[in-house]
Amino acid sequence: MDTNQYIASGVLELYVLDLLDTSAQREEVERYVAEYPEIKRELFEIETALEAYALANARPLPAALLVPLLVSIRDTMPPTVDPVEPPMATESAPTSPPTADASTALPWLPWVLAAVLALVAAYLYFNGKSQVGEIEQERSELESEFAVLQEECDETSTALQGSQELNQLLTNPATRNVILAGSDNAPGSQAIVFHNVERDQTKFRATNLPTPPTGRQYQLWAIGDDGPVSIAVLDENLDADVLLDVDFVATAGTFAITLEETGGKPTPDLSQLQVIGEI
Amino acid sequence: MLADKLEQRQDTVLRLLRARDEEGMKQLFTHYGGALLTLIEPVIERREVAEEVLNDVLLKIWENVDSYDEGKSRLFTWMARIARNAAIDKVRSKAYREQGKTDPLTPVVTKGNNLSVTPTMEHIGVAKLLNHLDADHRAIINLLYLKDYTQSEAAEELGIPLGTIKTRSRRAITQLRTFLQSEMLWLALGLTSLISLFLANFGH
Repeated sequence: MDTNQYIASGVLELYVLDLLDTSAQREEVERYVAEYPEIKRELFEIETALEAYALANARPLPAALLVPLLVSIRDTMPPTVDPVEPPMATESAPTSPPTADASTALPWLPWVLAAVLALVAAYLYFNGKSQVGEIEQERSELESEFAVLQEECDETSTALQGSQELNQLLTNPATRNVILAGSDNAPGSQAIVFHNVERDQTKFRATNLPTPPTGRQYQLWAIGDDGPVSIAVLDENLDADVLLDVDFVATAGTFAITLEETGGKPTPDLSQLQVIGEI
Repeated sequence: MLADKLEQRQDTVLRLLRARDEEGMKQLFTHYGGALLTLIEPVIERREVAEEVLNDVLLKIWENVDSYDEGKSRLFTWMARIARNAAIDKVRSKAYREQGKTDPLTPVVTKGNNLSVTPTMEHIGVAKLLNHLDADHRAIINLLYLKDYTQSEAAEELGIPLGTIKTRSRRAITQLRTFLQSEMLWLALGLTSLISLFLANFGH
């Protein structure tokens, strides 16, 4: 596994923030943390950063809140507890600054300067190296963000193109809107057909068709010079918002929907007529 | 380094808590109580109820410290999870909801910018972090961490695509980490230069 890529993905941050959606995702993180020391180190650093952030945002607590806590724990504690551990708050004492004697300083001065220079060089080297690492990591983060945005952009352009095409068809003067009104079998049902003989296109939307009974499907017919021709068998759970592309029949003068057995039939059963409309 | 100080503090508190030393509770309260309350408050609006929950949380930490596993997370992460769960349980409890019904006029506590800093925080220098952090980085950490927003809520609030929340929160936290790590290096370099200057002057 590429642990760097895994680290750069941001999943560890979400884990610490408790924002992963499923327990499977959380378990995956825990497995990797147990397996890869570098992931574990990364995780602990993220935790430290957020800990520091919470501390930085903290407000002082009223001291009065401490009293009931101490009372509660004294109640539960065995009475003989020796305070073995002295309360310690040892900040590590700074090493005492070196005292230089003028007479002795001179002979080893070049060595000291060389050592300081070496330290500076080493610092600059490692600092530069870690910066390169950080920049690399940032680059891979930006790349993944870019990929996400690119994908969204592509999706949006495709959707936009589709909408524009549709818009052109619907506003084209040659397009006929045919409302299919409910028959006696289904007075409340309704659908609409957009039919354009110049562009050889027909589209369909089920504005109000109840779910068909099991074993049945709606079938859409175009009735023209050759009699009824099947132009679509509709999905059982067709969404009313979907605009469907259906087969084009140039001579169609009437559109109708019948309720047929699943899979559709070559000729319509007109006793099962649901909706019908003429151009 | 700041990170080292946090480490030291964690170790001390953990050792005292495990020894069942009362001092452990005092330090837990002083060092971490305010930060834990910061995580409880966005969930529970009424300050006095939030403080009650904090009380329960601190006792729970005291009682269950033996179940904390150092290999899995830092102490604070473990405590923060207890705090958040306790806050959510409280909000879902029947008593809390009924209290809300009979007391509809309780003003909602607004958490503005009055984020004053406790003296104990000041002495390890954490507060400075906030000044260094870019505003948009701060905004995303605030929503996701302190205010407990989901990814999509945060995306909506900030007006950015959901798919970028992951990389942005990473970048924000990375910036925070840089500040935690960088301080001491410059101090060390400054000190060595000072010493060399001092020696060089004596040389002439």
